[in-house]
Amino acid sequence: MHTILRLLLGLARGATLVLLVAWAVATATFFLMRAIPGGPLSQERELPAAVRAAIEARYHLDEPVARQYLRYLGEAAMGRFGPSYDHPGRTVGDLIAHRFPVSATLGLTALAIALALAFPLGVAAAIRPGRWPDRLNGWLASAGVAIPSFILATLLLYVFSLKLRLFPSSGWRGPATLVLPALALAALPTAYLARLIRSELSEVLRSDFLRTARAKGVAPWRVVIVHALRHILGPILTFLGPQAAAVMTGSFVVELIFDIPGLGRDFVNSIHNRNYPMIMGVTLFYTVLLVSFNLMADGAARWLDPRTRRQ
Amino acid sequence: MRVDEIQVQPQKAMRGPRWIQRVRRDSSFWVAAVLLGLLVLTVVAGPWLSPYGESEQDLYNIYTRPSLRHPLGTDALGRDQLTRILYGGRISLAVGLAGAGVSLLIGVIVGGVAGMRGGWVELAIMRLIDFLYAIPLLLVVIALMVVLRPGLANVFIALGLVYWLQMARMVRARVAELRVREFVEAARALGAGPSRILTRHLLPNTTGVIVVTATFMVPQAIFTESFLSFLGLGVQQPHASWGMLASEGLPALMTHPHVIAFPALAICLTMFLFQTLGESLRAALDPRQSDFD
Repeated sequence: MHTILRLLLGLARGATLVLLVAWAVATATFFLMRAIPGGPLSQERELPAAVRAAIEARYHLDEPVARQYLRYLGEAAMGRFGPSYDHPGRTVGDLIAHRFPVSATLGLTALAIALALAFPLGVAAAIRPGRWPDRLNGWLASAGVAIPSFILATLLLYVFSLKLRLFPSSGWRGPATLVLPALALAALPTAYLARLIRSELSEVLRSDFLRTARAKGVAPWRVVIVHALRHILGPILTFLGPQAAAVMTGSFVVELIFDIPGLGRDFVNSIHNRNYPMIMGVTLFYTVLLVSFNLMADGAARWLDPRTRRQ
Repeated sequence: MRVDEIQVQPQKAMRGPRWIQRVRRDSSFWVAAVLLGLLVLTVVAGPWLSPYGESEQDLYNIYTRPSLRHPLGTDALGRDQLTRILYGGRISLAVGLAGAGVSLLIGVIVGGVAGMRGGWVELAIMRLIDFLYAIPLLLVVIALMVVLRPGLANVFIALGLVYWLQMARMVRARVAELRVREFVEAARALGAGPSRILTRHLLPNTTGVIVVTATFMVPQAIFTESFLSFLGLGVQQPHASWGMLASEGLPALMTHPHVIAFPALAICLTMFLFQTLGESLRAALDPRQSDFD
């Protein structure tokens, strides 16, 4: 009973935090966006005054900014994020619902690749420091950090798609189109994760309780898999939380290069076109996602480690 | 033992000499530092090294392959690629160093004040930083670039405004840790005011942390600038940064891959060198924890 109560309390506190941050970000974005010179109706050719006035009235762009702000907050609180100026007849919520699954699939695939590569690499490096897995780890980590995703994406595109013709170069049609962009996105998290696992694991492996376990005759692989790995889950989760939110959303350039109909591409376009409701909607969506993932990672880390649970 | 026989050990400057000694013995530090120095010299001397102008076009020789006349070939307008890369390097390196510089300044001041003052000031600043961390920073940079209009000076400002958070955190943690030490108490007993303690006693002992964090910030700034230029939000024509040169080469990837390859290589090499430099410094500063994070 007590545990459930505390869980509910934690959830309530988390939800309050998410709402608070979302409100602050919405406010900042709203006024920042209005400060951008130009507007959704600025075009090469000036619109006739009557047409302009009609459109402005239709989207409430003729009202004072403060009034528009309050209107936006009210509508957003009811879950309505307005129409997208660039996509006639579609709402922002509708667009996010269509585009986000694409970005999320890509991001989660990248993260899965990163985990699958980083775990064996990091563990091997930690067990035998100074040997070749360790050196490979260090080398890959530096390369992963030094090569920006858009350069890696271009390189993969050139080698595997244009030269070897193994994978399609663009579009979003089934698993084959997923491979190259996911690899391009996976490089950075792989580099960080492999190093994180190496450094955390080698510290845990030096601790007394694992020396005891080894002295008692526990098999070496068991020491690592059963005893040591659970101790490094905390830092890994803390890293994965924001990283998951970042790879699911922050792949503007990779989406651009591989022509993937994800949310990132729409966001960049919406800034260029001053598509106010779309900018607001996507920024809010990202923020809520990021804060929620951070909170979930913190919560999971606390739940896994009894030492931090007690206050 | 008489009281005056007790040797008073002068307080050794924290970490200062030791980490500098360690870094001096590190060969990868020297390799990275020398190569970066050469890179900076070449890029600064670029205009005098090259017989071509930054935007000198030769429309009869577009997209030529590397040759003796044009060692790295020419681009879509027949401009010499090597010259463009040399000029672009001035912008990319300037953005990296200035972006790191602006965020260093903001971060050290905010972090230093937070760590020094403690109490509600510290709490408020740290909460603000936590809050700013919750915002997707790349979005903020993109939005800022649109507000400020693309351009070189604005890239500095946008990067500095966004990337000081990490520096402020590191500096605050270190200053707060040092604030309670005896040498600070001694300084206070001798009548030093808070600003003197911060600038003469606390910050000098934080140099290591500041240097390492700033070194890692340079490649981050270079990356973000190249990213912005790739999206068309960075510096504007006819000037070019490496990121912009790479994005200009993208449409010709299929037919003339060398146009994108060289600027991309320049970005990767520079980021790799700064990364190596930062890691050597970190390893020297804290031999036990030689990994990042």
